[in-house]
Amino acid sequence: MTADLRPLPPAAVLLHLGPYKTGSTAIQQALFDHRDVLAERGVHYPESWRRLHREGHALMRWAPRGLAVPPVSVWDDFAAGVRARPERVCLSTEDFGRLRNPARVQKIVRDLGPERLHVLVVARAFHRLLPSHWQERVKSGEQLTYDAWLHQVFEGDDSQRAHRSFWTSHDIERTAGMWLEELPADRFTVVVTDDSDRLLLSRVFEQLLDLPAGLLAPAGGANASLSANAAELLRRVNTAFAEQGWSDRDYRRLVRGGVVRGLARGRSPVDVPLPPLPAWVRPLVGERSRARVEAIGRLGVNVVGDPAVLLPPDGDARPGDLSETAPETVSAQAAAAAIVGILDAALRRTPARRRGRTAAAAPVVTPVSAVPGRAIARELARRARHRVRSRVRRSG
Amino acid sequence: MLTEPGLLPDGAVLVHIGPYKTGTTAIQSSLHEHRAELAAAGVTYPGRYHRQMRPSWALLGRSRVGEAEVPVDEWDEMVAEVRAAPGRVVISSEDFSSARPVHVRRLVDDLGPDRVHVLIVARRLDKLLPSAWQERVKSVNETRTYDAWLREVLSAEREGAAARTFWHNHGIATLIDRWSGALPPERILVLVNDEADRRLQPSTFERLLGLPEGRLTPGPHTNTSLSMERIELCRQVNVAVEERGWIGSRRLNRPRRRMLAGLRSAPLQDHETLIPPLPAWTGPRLQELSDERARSLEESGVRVLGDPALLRATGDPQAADLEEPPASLPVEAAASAVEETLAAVIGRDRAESVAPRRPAQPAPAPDPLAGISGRALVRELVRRPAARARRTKGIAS
Repeated sequence: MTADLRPLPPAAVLLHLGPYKTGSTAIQQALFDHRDVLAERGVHYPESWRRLHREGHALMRWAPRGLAVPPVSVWDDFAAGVRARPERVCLSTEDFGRLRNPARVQKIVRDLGPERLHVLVVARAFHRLLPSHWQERVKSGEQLTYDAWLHQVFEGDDSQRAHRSFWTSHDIERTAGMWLEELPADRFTVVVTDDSDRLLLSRVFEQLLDLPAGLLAPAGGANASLSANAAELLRRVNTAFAEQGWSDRDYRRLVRGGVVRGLARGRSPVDVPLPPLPAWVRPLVGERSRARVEAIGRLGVNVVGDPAVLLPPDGDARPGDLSETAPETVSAQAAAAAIVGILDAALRRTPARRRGRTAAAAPVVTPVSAVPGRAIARELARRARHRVRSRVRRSG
Repeated sequence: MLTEPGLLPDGAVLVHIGPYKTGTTAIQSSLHEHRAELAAAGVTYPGRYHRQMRPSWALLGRSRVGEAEVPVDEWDEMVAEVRAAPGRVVISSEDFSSARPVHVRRLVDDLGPDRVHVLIVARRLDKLLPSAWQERVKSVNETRTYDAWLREVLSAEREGAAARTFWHNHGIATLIDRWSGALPPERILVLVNDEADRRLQPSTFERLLGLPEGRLTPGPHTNTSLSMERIELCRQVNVAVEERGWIGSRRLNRPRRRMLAGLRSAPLQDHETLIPPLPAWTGPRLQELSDERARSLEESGVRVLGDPALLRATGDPQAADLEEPPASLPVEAAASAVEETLAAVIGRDRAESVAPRRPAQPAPAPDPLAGISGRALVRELVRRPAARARRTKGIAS
């Protein structure tokens, strides 16, 4: 990082757009965990979740697989709440990093306050981003192997889902161009990173929001990548899932909430990390990276870091490079964790229908002393969440 | 009493009790497959399934984990079918090998004290042990590694659940003893399995039942072994199931069955290993126990088909120690296990949501925590470890 950044004006609204797989989960988690410290320092961070979720989906008229699109009033109420706050506000959602509709961007800027809004976006080196982006797609149902997915991203066009989904989030020129229609260039900041400085993003937030140094340093482990082996297991499960025609709801509940969760727990040293880029794609990645560095120079926006780090290192294609072939084995630990994850998700709750049966015998009241401690703890947590939500609704 | 398997008397009821992992699935599948030919030869194989599992469970008061016991009617129905059958009858269920004396007595009384002949298959220990461990991992949530399980089963004390179960089902003297309480020795048949002769069991059944030689060709079902890699996956799932306190949950039965089906469905890969030979440390104990089995059979006075000497096994002093369980398995097998587990869960949820409303179900218990203040709940939580500590102290003093 070159020089320290000046804090944003005291009433600024900082909107972080991600995009996906650029360290957003870690920074969101840190912001969320320290939201009371932020509040003391005059920075408001929404309390509902670690990032904007339903609020953003309401604006985008879109929701992730298996979730319903919330009514647009969810966004309108939320934005009104932000406007009503006199202090600094920080908002973060990588979903907005993939906006392509200028009208939506315009609405965000207008609703949050054109005079207060600052936008932050991260440009992560493609050679770092690609493997982790692919595995993130696999967590959402992708069926293509890494190699096939790369072919679509670099040789395909927008008619192919992999191509569209990657470049929708990671074409900085397009993203910046749209926001710069609504905002002056000095209120748009690009942070460039090649992962060598793990504290870069947290430092940028600390400085822009005038927070104590080190407050937002990542705790580690947030949204860590799958191993190559686990990703291959999940990819095959995705294929089978699609072939069976099972529902999005089941995908969300049992694959995301079961298999993926299980795989995150079942890490084993015998599984290998995601492979680097296969040799055939390196020249193409180099080309796109050079174009991106030039684009960042042309935009005239604030740039944190040296854009040259976005260029991939020359010729590290290794002999025996296996990145074009998918792993053939997976650790028993990961596979067992995947299966247990499904059982966890399935046994956690009974389908709602079962609760609707007609009564015959008088219900028996369990004394509280016979309720397991974990159930009591869960109930307390549920009530706490409920309180937070009602508070947010009231304040909105 | 060393004998050749001769034709059983007309009206005989041959009760094949396994035990487990002695080739029962193969012979049952063959008997089921050839029902019509059996009937033509005057032999009844009761029921409609490949073995008489449910009637045997009804007799033994057994059920699938967490499910209701099989109604005893199902045993009575089979008994009625056997009694009404002319000619010879054969029934087969390896679960009879775990029958306690009271069940043995009832079985014999119900099927006809003068008609029943029991057939026990004795298998060499070094062949039996690997299959028995694997079956436990697949069916009864065994969490021990192969090595740990072997150490318990082969220990001199024979203590611990693994050892007790194994020897209850597989101890030759024990089995003969249990059936001797209800049957004369000449109607207890022990077939010594010849690991090298795949036709031995079918041909024995053919001769006992008066079927043309070669009639009992293999049926469609076999209980094939899984590779060590795939068993290790099951074992790790078992560990998690135990940690979560899910043992006994009926809701695990279907997912577990489907998971195993998934594991079986993916073809064996070159890099996979089958269950290894017994390690050298088992040698002396193996020899001792095998000799004991052979001797007790020779001295038992029951009808022995085959040579008890085949039961004698000497360990291989050069055999390698067992390694740690394999760390990885083919991703194809893992994926198919995951897919089948998903299918089981999704299928069950669907079945439950479309099931007709059952009347007379008790209402769900009201939420015991509703209406209790958060503060009271916290107090209750805080009270507990203290109460536990007090109880523990009470026991110690």
